[in-house]
Amino acid sequence: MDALDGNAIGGLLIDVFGAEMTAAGSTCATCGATRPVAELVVYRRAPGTVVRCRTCGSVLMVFVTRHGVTSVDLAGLATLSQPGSALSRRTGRDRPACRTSTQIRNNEGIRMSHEQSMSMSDEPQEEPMSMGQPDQEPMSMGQPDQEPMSMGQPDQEPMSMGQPDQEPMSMGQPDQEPMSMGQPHEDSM
Amino acid sequence: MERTAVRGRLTWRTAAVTSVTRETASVVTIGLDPPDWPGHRAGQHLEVRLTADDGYQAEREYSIASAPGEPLAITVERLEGGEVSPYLTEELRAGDELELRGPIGGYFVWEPGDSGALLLLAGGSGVVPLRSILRHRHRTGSDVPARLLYSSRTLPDVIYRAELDQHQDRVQVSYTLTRSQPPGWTGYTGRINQALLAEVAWPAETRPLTYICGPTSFVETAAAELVGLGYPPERVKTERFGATGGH
Repeated sequence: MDALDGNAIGGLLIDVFGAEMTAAGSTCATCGATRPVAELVVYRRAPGTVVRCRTCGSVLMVFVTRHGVTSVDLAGLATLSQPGSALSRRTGRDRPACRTSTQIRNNEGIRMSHEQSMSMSDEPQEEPMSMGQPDQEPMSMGQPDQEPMSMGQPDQEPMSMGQPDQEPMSMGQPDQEPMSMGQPHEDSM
Repeated sequence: MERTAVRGRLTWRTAAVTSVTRETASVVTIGLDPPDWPGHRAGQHLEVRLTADDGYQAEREYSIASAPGEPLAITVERLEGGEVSPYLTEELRAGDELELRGPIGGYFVWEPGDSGALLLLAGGSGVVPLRSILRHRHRTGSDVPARLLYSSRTLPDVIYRAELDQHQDRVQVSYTLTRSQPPGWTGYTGRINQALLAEVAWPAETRPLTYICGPTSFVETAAAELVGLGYPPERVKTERFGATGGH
């Protein structure tokens, strides 16, 4: 399977973020490379999609869909910015329909460390949110010593999602192990 | 059952197939009439979903072949062993219905207001979104000069050949045939490389706006060679569809 690029997951990204995201800017939390999402390396093998940095190969995003629910891991991204869109990092207080949550999950060896749920704030929720269950308690399976994600660690890049003046949100753990799926050597290239 | 379109969401629509036109031995263009289609931009794609009798569903992305404002059409290449393209290229008929959603994509798109001469590089069926761009350019009366370099295995594999050969009006179309050439062929031969690009592409200092679409290896070779020629990477837009032409 050849690698695709971020254009190929434009529909998935609309499902997840509620907005066109292929033109959004991204920053790799490992090497700092910046490029549009459309130019990232994408491996698709149902039920998972793995998005890697084109510069250093680090995993930036993982999407796994089961039973109509998409779990999203953005831990490899330092920033994801979509200027001018309705996407906002601001949650709860300012935009009630825009939610973020943090949870640790270990499912079949995949560490789903950060889940986010965002949607256009003024639209009816016709379909179930496609991103996990943001309200549930964080759970840890099989990695009891793993530290939970924390928001705003001082040594990490601020998360920027289109509002430059917002408070920082950290989504990067640069030293983490790469995901176990979608690595190039597993694909018949 | 059709659902009301929700802004910010992609909804599946059942489109009537208005036409199926054979382009080459393995490629067809499918005219579509989806209800409440919101319109599209040149270079975007859509998703097609097929549902088997047992409920199994397969989804694929296909570039939109028509220009904004024209009736919606996609062009599909048959992939041997594929789940979706053999049905679309061999079985589908006008009057059938097809589930789709879109349009999708905000990066690999061109607007007449975008500055700079256009360089379009196509590998195989990667020509499809570039054809939409060329038609959009023509329909909007844009005078931006454009060059298309189209890499194809053989001449009969060239999609839209009659249409592309009619282009004048500051559009130059070149072909390179990688597998075999007809007798008397005067176009280019062989895979895309820096020497070919140096001959066909605009000089880098003019800061052209480049769109490359094709198989992954084609796109990566072309993009790297252009950057080697001094093209600014941020003005080289790419779209890859895998090893064998999945679009």
